[in-house]
Amino acid sequence: MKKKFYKALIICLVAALSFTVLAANGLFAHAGMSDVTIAADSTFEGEIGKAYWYYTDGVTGESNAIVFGAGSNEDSRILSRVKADDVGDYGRAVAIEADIGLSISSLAEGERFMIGFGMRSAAEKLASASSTTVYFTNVGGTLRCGVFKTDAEGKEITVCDAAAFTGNTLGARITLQTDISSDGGIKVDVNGTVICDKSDAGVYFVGYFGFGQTAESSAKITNCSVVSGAYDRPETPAASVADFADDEFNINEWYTMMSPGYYSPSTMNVSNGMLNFVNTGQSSICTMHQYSNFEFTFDMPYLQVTTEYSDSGEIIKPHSYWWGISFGCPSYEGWANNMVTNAHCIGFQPSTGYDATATDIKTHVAYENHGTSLGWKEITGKYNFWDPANEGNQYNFKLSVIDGVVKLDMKCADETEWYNVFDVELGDTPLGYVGILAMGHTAAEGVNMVESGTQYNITVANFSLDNLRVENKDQNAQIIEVPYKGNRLDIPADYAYSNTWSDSDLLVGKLESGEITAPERTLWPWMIAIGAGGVCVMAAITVTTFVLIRKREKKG
Amino acid sequence: MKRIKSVSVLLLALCMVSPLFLSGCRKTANSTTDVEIVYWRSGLGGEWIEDVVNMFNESQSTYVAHLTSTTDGERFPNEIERGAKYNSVDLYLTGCPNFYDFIEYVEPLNSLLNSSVEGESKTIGEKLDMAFMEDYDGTYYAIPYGGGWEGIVCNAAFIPQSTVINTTNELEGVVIELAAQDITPFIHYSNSFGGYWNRVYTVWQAQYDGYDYYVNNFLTLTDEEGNSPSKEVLMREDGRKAVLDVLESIVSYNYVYSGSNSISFTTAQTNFINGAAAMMVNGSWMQNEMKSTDSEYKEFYTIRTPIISSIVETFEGADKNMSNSKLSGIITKIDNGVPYSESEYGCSEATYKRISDARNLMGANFTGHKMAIPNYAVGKEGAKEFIRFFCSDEIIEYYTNKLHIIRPIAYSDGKEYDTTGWSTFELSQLDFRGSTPVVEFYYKDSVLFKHGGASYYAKVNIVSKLSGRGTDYWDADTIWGNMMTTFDKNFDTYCLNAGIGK
Repeated sequence: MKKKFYKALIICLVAALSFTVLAANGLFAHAGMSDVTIAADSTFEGEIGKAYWYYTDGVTGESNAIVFGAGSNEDSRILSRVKADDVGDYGRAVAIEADIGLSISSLAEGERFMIGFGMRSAAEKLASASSTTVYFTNVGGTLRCGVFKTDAEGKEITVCDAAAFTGNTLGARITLQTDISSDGGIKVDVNGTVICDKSDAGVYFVGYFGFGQTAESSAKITNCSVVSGAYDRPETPAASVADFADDEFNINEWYTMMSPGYYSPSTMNVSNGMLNFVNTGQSSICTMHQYSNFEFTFDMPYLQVTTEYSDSGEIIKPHSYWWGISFGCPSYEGWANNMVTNAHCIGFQPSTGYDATATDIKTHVAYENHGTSLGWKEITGKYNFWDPANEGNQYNFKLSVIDGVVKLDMKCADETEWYNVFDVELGDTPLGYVGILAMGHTAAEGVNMVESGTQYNITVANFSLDNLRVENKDQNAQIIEVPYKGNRLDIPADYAYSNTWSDSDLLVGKLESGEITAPERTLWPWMIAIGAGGVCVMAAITVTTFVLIRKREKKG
Repeated sequence: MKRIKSVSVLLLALCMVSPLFLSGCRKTANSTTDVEIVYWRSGLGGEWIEDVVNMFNESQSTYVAHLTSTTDGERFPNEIERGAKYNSVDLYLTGCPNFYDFIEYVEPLNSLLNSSVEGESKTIGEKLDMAFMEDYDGTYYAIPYGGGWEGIVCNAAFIPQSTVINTTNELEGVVIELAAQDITPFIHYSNSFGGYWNRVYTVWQAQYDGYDYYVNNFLTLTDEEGNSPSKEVLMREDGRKAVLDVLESIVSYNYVYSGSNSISFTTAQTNFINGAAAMMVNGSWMQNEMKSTDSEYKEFYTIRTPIISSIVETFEGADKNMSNSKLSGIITKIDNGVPYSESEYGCSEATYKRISDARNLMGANFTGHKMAIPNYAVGKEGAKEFIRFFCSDEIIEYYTNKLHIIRPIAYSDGKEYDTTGWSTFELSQLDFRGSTPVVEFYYKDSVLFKHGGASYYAKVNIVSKLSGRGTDYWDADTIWGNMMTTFDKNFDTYCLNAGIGK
């Protein structure tokens, strides 16, 4: 009992750690409705990460802080390279949440140290046109905080006058919280003192965030978390559908790849109204359009549950190895491996690994984001694909990824209720291609494994798919028409052969008619050579034969 | 009875032998007068070489050239060692990074360079731009037949041709501006060099370190005392670190077309031509490959590779603090041919020279397209005659008009190229003539790079890592740290692999 408890605890901790890693790595990721990390402490740990920030002379990274110091001037600034967008129309009320920890040790009287929102580019100066500025200014040796916006013509408009706040001495630590709503409201809190709270301020925020100043200062930013939202609406068909009716699918919507496996026959084919993976190595089917919010449904009418052997005990058809559902994939033309390591992937794996001879196999489901685990579970009973008792089961799957929530359900075809496999809140909605992949060893790898005596570890994919449907679930979805082009090769009609030649076409006829002439110039040396060669050979054979005959006659 | 048997044997033998002789009637290609040519069909397509072969055959009656066009880029390395008995090819038009590993099988071309085309006043060697001729211990084994200049290609619809991009800081400014306009700045394709990015970042490395250092010290891993291979040179914080710092700020995930790290070259280039991104590192051959597309975007141009802004760190004295705007201004003056004077340029003459030399560096892969003759080839005299013909003014003119690419060779009479009707892209490439090419110097590489398993960036795909996301993302410092650890740990192994047992 204790063991189980500790096991569960460890799994929870690992999962929590995984999510933390994911969150840290979630920078820039956005699609559907997603949180977008505009800035995070991790982007200036040690040095300032150039991939995240644009900064000018006078700004340096020191001891996990962004520092404005001696040598800085009115042009010195640092801006995040990630743009904030307005996604209020898609239901996001808070456009920007900024939590900043800083200290300002020196700032000339009347000058400003600024935190800007909505700059047109990541290289723009703060307080430029159509931006909003929260600033600290030195009034009589203490700091005050105020807010202004700059209109499209560059005119400064006060939103909230500069006001004192608790702990406003130079050099003291300042905790600044700024929330900007999608409808232009702003709330600024400094060290617990609300400096500004105006819901009708009409502030600007679409653009870039950063820090700057009006004159040399000594300021240190030690914490900076800025989060915004994004909503991507990629152009897709209303639904990419492959039901394999008439044993066809639309190759303008779906892309298939396969590497042959070791066992024969090794094919990926469409027949009997299904897509069949037969002894394949790495293989996949993938949409040819990137999706953001989507629902993906498909059926698995067949999966090879157990390994088949010949009468002499040799493996002739291994049980199917692991397969997975991939989304947020950056390319549809990469190998199946690419759909695992460069995307989100939920994989169904036999618990016994490679071993095709193994029995008593459980089904493990693992969810990974770019190779980082988001958790796994074991599924049992009728959903354990590799249980011989489930041979012949047909399964239905439904994966939805909507506004950062990933939900995978499955059921047997004869059931009405869905079984939830995963329900994960990601925070961001991966943008990319959607597909199914199958893993297996290539034929060449199989040959090597046979040579090394580990043939039992050769894996292949053996299953079928049907009724694939990926439906766009974006708000105000951008739907495009995709023309149908079947996967069948155009086979021309049989050619009607007819015999049209005549005797005059023969070489002899052409020579006799004078239509062509014999190339005497190049042929006569060969004729001589043939004659001479023939005579020589005949002479040699004759002499040899006579010698042999005479010898035998002498012996006889 | 025995006599009957004997006669039967004789007749049978005769029957067997006769076809062998008769088969000799067919004209075989493996003769001294037949020139069997194998052409690697890459970005230039195949039509032009078919025309050249036909023109050669019509131009004289001694030799007959036979062309085999193949997409297999490995024909030369796979076949050259077979020898005359198993390889009848007389001339290869090939790309082969380790060409000089097969040098014992390749015909020297020095005498050919000293000869001239009938009716022309200059020798082949005098017509060729020797910057693209690889002097291998005093011997020339190959002549370039294709390739081109390589650099950052811009879509003029997104980046007007008047945009000043003299330095990498200015390039970064363009990238930032494009992103602000929601235009994806870059696209690349998946290979171990980040698509063609190495054709640009190698130039930056050479700019930062100086061309001579890059070629004679870095590539050869030779220190200032002549010690080679030098671990200290391999691990020196040099232009490679400067390259990483630049790339980090311009190829991060949000500046690169999604999927660049996993798409093919064809997909990347097609997407680029169709406006998926504003810039792509590419080469002269792009124009030829664009012909089959029907993009709404028609105007593309290649920029001279900007100077790495951190080059100022390598200047002496006050010039070390030179601002980027001043650096850019100096570059503009150099481009405009303004003669040096301290008052005009506001920097030392040494600094001016550094900037001027750096500005003249440009990626090129002409030497990656080699015409070479197996030294055992039966038809090697014919092959030489074909090369001579290929270097004639007649073919220079044909090639230039057909492909709109200028090979590194000049007309014998100094005639200028006719560029009437050339596209913006093609014309932009003309500016690079006379540049110092930063080419594929594989033959100059240290044995540690060639055979030891070492590589410039310790086999880290730097563009892929810097443009990766999540756990695939490595920043510049992480990459550099990884390189140093790898070099330090593996240096002795590199030496052992290279057979020098250090």
